Amino acid sequence: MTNILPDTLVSIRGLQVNIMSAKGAVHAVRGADMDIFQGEICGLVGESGCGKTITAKSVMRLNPEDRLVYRGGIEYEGRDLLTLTEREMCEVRGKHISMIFQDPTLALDPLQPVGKQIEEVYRIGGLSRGEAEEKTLAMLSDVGIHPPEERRRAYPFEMSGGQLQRVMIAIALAAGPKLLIADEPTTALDVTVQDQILELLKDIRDKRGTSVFIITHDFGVIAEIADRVAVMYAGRIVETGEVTEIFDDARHPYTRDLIASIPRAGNDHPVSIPGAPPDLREVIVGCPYAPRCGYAEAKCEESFPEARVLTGTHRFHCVLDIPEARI
Amino acid sequence: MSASLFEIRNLSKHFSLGTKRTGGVRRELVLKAVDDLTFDIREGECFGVVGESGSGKSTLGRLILNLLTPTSGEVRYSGFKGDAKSVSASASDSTGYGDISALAPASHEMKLLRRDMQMIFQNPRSSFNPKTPIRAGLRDVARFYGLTGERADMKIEELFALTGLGRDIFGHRGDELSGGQLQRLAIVRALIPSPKFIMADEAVSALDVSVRAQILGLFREMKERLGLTIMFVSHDLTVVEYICDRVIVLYLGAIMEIASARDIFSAPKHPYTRSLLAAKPRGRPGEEKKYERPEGEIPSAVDLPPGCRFYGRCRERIPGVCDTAEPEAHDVSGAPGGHLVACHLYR
Repeated sequence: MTNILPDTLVSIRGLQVNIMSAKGAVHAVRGADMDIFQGEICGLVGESGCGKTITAKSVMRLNPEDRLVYRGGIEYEGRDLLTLTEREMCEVRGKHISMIFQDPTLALDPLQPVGKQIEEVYRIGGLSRGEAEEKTLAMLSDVGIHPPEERRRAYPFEMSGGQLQRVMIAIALAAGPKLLIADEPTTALDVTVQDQILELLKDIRDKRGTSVFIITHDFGVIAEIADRVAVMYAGRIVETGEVTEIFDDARHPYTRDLIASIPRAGNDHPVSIPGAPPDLREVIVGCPYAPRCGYAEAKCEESFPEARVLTGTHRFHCVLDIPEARI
Repeated sequence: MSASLFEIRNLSKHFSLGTKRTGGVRRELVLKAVDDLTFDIREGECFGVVGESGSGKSTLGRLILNLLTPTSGEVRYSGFKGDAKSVSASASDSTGYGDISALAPASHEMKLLRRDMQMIFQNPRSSFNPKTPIRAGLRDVARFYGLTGERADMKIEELFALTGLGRDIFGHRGDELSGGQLQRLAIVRALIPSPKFIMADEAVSALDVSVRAQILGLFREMKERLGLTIMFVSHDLTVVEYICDRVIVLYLGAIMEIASARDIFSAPKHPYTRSLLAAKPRGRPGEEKKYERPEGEIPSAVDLPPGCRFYGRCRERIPGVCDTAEPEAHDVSGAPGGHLVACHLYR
């Protein structure tokens, strides 16, 4: 994949999301630019409240749209998803782009056997009952639920968290999407199960060519599966690059601090980032990270830094040249 | 090696799930959440408890604090001589180890002992009243432990300084604070009676990465500055490796391995420990994994088959040996502190 220029699947340009709330407008996403390529696993990482989930849900148009305003564009196969009607969007969801969430127990119907819930997707796609059943069995086996003939009759309460996440993935894949969005898919799971689900996502990309867009606050997960990563802070992408570029040569102080906050034995103290992300109701003029940044100077307060391009894939938004990484 | 704070001896907690009739025979279904555990927790150490969900980590924590009554076995505590009159606030003037699990959980003696042992939970949001002002809530806790008026306020301010909380949140309510602030408050609340022992059950699992690092730093400081003994229950191996001195690995209620954190992470012996490490995120992309992942998921602790509990998922199992006798934990190092492994491969 290194020498061939990959094809862009989704292109997010200047995305802004303003949410109306009783206490004033929340500027949750403030001009995000990023691409998701075909057949890649792309990560979006940042702390809680940085706009990651809203960005991901914007691609699916799953935000509460009566209370928010979009600006900018999300281009997919020559169309801007933000301009589609709800009916047109229904055609995109599932068949083109689908999504899984942190807690599968909230997303499944507790009163239906899991097999039925997968079959439903095939039935909506126009298959007969028999064909849908057959496809469901194959899909269950593909996502690692064995034996499928027996397990498809299980109700969600009879399955473990890891198995339920597999069922969610089966439902998400049933209509054959080109992009699977996974919002913190392993945060609620045990280490061993997290590892298995991440392996499954890799497997799906390798065998089906489905692009995976994974949202997480954990750089450990990124190191495990992503090809490329975008780092989000206060509603903006502050750095993006291939995973090795980011781990070996992060240029934005926020990226560095996030990577350094992973605890490791032998390292004296994991870096804790002082303070908290800004209140997204406020207007932020300069670099949003300046108040928490160990390197900040007066010029950081002037305006949001322009993109600086290092390689074809690696760019960042910081006016400073911070010293070599100590990671 | 420092003295033990707790001596856990043959501790078991079995839950009866009723009976099941198979082939005309009525059998009792028993879930062995914790099964015959023997180990010590030493003074001043951070003792890690790891294992997958369902391995009995939380049940063990609750047994040690006498929030659950064991089916059998003892939780011997250095600050308790064994009869109600000898309950003391200090371990140094006592020599005996009394079994606190024999006390009724709500008894007067147990309440006195609870000053010594406090607990911090996973989700600070569900362990604070969202509508009580912070200082008022902490004063209530102080009063419960006999601190009132100025003495209570001094203690609270001292602990605020220790945990890096500002006095500006005194008038706030629980639901106005961030997760990191609330977890600091949970630590303040636990430290009010000046305990010797803190049980932290997944205390950083629900926190954001940057906040997690802050709280972990605070745990280290508590251990170093206050000489606290900490039992740190977590499924997050990265965190355990960072903070713990010794580690016990549990699987389906039984000990697989106990050793120093360094040995567990750099020279693990038990196949289960190795497979847990295989699942640990690499930390950097492209790094090689040393061990193989386990097969399948953790089974139920009901109706365990004979032999080693890990048999069904183990990649190094020896048929005919591992599925017939349950391995006993024994020392494989001979070094001070020891390295216990319960596996037939090391006989």
